[in-house]
Amino acid sequence: MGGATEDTVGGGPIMRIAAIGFMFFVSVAFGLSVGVWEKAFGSGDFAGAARRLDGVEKALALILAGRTDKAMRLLEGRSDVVSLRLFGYAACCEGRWSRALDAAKELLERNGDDMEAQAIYAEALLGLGDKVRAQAVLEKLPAQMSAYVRLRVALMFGEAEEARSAACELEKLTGCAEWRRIATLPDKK
Amino acid sequence: MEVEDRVVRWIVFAAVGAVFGVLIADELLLKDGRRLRGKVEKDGNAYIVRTRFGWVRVKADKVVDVIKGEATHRRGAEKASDSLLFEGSFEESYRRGVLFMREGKLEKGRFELLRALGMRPHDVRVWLKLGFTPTKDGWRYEARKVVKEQKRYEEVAKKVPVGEGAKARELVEKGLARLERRLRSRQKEVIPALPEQGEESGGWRWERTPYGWAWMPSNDWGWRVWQPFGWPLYRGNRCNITIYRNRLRNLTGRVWVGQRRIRLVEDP
Repeated sequence: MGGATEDTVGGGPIMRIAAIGFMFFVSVAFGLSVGVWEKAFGSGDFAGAARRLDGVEKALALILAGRTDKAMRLLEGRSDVVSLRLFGYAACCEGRWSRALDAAKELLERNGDDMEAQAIYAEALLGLGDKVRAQAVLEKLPAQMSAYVRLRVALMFGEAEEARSAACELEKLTGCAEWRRIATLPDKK
Repeated sequence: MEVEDRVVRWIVFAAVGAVFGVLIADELLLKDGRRLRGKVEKDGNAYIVRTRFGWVRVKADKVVDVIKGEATHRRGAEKASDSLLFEGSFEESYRRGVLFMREGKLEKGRFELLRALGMRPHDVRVWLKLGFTPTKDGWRYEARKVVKEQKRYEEVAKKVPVGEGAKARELVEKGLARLERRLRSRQKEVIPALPEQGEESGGWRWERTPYGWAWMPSNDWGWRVWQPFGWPLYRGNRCNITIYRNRLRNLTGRVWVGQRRIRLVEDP
């Protein structure tokens, strides 16, 4: 009896401290990981979130932070669908049309109906100057995606007229007035 | 006692393992006897080994074994990666995200929208729903705090339309009155600028009105709230405003009162 009491007195606190410490460690690690995106949306610091995340999510955070070059580097060599989509998008942002085209082709081989793959394909074709084939792909896309693709390429190549028409279309479709500002259109009177 | 000791030992091992697992890299054993060290990822029918110098892709049939250096339990961040699986239907995720956002469940809504964005980053609707604004260089996110702050400033900052001098004057007077209240609440005193302080001083005059003494805007050339001597001259306490009335006619700037300072900025 006396021995049992001694045991509880001697081992109890150590056990408790160790268990609490371990639980604390686990909960802190888990809490940090779960809250990464929420914190990023609270503060707008997606680059900070990217440092804490890993894999595809890191790439997405980098894209949200505007670091598409880093995202490309991170996703290079990956061949899963999500990575390819993000890689294709990032490559389009960076103007690396041939890389984007490769990613889109690979995606389309797996699934010909993949909208994102088609968007990347169309953008890459437009970027490479193949307007006829690009137009055929753009027609299959939802209107807002098609307009967005045209706007991006037009802005990159400084085609004011094309940018203007795409921006007008986007404004109508999304109700966001920023598109007009992007295409440097005069305000409505 | 023995059982407890064992439990404690296991806990210590687990904790040490979790900490040192970060430092241990994976190893890829190749059929030709080479060993590649780094972060190993399975990618379809191949492995990708990432090191700090670059990455290499090795076909699975050339690999004998993969020795994971405890890296599977590596970081808490890894859990977050698993939490966002970019799979399923885009439309479903988008629809759910929008619904959650409408209901005010921001966390869940963002989660679903992020998932949708991972599946279709070319879809502008998702970016807009997530609170991004399109710019020439890509998408810009204005965090809640920033937006809140901007709204607060927009309340005090009014755009003065061109050629509407009367409105501009009204705004300036309103702003000055607000500033005065603010300063008074800080137990400071706003002293009217005296004519000898400058040619264009004028400003608010302490005038006797039918309703008693009150601060009245003077009809002089400009308004000025003068910083009386004796106030500590640090940046937050600075209060020196001069508004030239002749410029008000063509004024298209903003009246800022948030910083305890009114600046009417002319368009270049």
